[in-house]
Amino acid sequence: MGTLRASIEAKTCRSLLLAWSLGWILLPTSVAEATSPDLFGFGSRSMSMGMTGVSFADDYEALYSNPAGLARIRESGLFLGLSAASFELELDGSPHYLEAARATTLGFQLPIPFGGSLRDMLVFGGGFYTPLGVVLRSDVLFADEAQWPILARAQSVSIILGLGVDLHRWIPGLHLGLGVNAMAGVHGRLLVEFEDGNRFVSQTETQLLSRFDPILGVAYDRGDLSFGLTYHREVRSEIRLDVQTESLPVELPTFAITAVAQYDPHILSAEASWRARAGTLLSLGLHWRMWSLWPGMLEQTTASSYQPPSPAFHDTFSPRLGVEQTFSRRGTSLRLRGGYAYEPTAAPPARMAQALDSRGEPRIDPATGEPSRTPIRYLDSDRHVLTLGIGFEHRLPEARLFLDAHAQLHWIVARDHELPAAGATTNMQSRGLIPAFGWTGGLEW
Amino acid sequence: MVGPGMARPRVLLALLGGLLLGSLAPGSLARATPPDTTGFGARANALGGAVTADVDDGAANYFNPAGLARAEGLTLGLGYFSLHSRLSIEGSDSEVERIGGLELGVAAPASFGWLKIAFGLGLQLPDQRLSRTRSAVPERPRWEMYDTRPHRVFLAANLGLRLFDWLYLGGGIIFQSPSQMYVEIRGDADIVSPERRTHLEHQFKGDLISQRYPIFGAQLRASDWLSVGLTYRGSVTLDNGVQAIIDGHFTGLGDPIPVDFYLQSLALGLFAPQQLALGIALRPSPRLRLGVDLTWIDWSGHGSLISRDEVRLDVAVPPGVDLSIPDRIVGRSAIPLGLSDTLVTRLGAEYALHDSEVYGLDLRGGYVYQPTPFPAQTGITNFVDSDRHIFTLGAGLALRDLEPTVAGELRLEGSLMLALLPERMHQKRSLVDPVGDYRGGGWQFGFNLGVGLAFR
Repeated sequence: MGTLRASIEAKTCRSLLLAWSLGWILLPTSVAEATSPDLFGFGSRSMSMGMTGVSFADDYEALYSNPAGLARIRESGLFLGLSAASFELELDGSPHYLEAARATTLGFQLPIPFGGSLRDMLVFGGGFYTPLGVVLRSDVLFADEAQWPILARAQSVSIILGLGVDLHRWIPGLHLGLGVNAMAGVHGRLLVEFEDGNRFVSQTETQLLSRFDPILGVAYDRGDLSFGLTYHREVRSEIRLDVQTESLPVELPTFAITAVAQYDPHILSAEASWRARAGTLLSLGLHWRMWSLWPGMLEQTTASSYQPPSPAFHDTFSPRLGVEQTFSRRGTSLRLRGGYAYEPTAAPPARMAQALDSRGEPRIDPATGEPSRTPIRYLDSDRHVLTLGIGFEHRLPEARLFLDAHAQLHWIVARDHELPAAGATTNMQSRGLIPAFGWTGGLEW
Repeated sequence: MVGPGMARPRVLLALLGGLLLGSLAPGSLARATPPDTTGFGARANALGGAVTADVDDGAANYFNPAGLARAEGLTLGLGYFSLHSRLSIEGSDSEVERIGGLELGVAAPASFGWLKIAFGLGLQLPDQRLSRTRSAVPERPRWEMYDTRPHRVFLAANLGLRLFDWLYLGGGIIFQSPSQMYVEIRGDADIVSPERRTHLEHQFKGDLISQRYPIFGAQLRASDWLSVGLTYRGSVTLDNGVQAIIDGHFTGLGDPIPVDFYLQSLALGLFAPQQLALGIALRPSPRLRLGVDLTWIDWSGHGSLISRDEVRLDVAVPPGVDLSIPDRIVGRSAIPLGLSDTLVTRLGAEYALHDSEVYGLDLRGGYVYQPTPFPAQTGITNFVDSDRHIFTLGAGLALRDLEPTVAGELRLEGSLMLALLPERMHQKRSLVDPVGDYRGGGWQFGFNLGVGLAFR
């Protein structure tokens, strides 16, 4: 145990250095990302405060945590952030590779300068969360291959646009918000045919289809207290590639290559926060993720093929806690932040699951008359997430400058599974750590 | 006069602006080709796109990002565009799909003393799909420039800077996404009853990869009546790849027959050539604006549109089974296109029919000549195209007496476009060409409608 812990600690240090270095090196070349906000949060302030913000967000970060928070904004702003996370995962004591997530965040906020009865009422914002190098990565593997389906969601672009509405004229302290999360899916067709007996011809047609999922939020400020409630509709990116063959020596059915490449469940978040007079902000929230509605990543390949086993995920409730202490002097503010989140796993242990037939009914082994079972090796565990951060704000005559940095450590609790890895004899055990770092610079005017 | 104490924060702001500009690559989720075909924004389209020299609204995100810094205040624009094609080959309608969608243009300037920075966002979102690609088959004629090429999302984020009252600079980075797909299938395929007894399963790996290319622009406001603009758009090549592996068995003919199938298809999904646009805008009178643009487009760098395919099929057919598997399967290879660079000419005129503190009414017109980069299709390829003469017409109504709700203008814009593609003869060199000689030509009709808010 001691050796293993030392090994993980050494890897953590290396990961920290690597992530931090990569963060700086990759700055000029980074691009954008999508369901990673569900894993790590969105924006440096939220990411350093236990991924809270539903009740108190008051800048572009509100786009994801609670679009109603946009309505608190009175100044235009532009923000650029960079984040990196390294997945130090272990399966049976050996490293299990999952590509590091490196991404930039670009956010903007624009209070619409209406006058009259619309004054200070509408605020428009946008956020782009973009992984480096890819817009969307989907590794949808056979269910019997050991994989981390929840943590592997960090490689996809996320584009969020939102509008906050301040209803203070009618109900002081009440804000409403609507955001739209854009996600793309791929539908395609591959036609393979033979001409003249041995000449091969293929035709491909692909379409990138958009899907827009709403984020609805409400926030209410009363004195030193703030409350927030946010609903994220499920976000999914679907792949479908129909492979047809013609003029082959043998007749084959149409292959339907289908996959849910990226998935975030429906999420309902509630949070309360308290601003103490000494510059302290405390927040406490709860996230309900409806993972039980997840259909799984794969579908059957042909009409007569067996259906993949059900992942049997269950809903999770994630409590979160955040704290921020502000020290101000002569137009300059320093903020220290910290937080904790508990992320229970939605996945049952890897196991022999009930095999299904082409109609989705339990499959019976004709030799024994017993139900057939098939291996499903989805790895995941409860996560304890510790977060830290620091923020700096400096007021200039015509603008405010911001620089925030955050750090997270996700401790993935060791878990014993109910079947061995392919080719092994003892049941699998998984564990890991995820160090994550980043910073955001911004300007408000 | 700027004192040293004031200059330092502004230099910091400028550095921050530059940093943001350099880092917008990811944020400027964009592609250049759809606006090359459909234009961007109702006003700019009504002027034939001859706005490089003085564009100052959300359309600057495509035509010249330097113009973002010319906006007086926050400018928001929302519109709809549609382009219908009636293109035919030998008199038969080619059924080229309509292109249409939403447009969003934002210009958000901020002044810090002498320095003015503007952030811009431009979005063109097709109403059918984000993008569409279809691999080309040499023997099947198609209108390459309008078939699937314009079916792409355009999303660009830019920054503009006003360095002096007469000099504006801007830029951003546009990025586009080719796809790489890997499919692996395993299991049993029944030869006798493939639809009923085939039991296969698959896994899938896919990447939409980001590729970036830059856009830079400058506007020189030489006087109240003369502006000059220059825009450079970089090039991008998108290669789409599909790799499929089948590792399984044929069943239904006695013992299972092992099958090993490998397919790799690499196709050019899109080539967007680099472009350099030079524009001049004149105001000979306060009510009249004239614009001329010349755009060089580097089409000669275009690669082959024919995919490179490789296929392998190994089937261990047992003796006595009547199954004919070819020993060697021949794939396809690339065919040079022979495209030529083009010089696009754009002319536009705008006349203020009415201009008061209550409202303004503008009439607009324009003409564009787009020569085709494609040579006549005399060989085995059949990429049909023709020169394009575009005539545009439009109007804009600006409502200005809207205070206190709106300190600025509410703009209602509209434009119509008619494009004529003269019939062109494609005469084959070979007398036994499988397609033979044909003529291609036709016309296109389009419109833009837009509503915008321009705050002071």
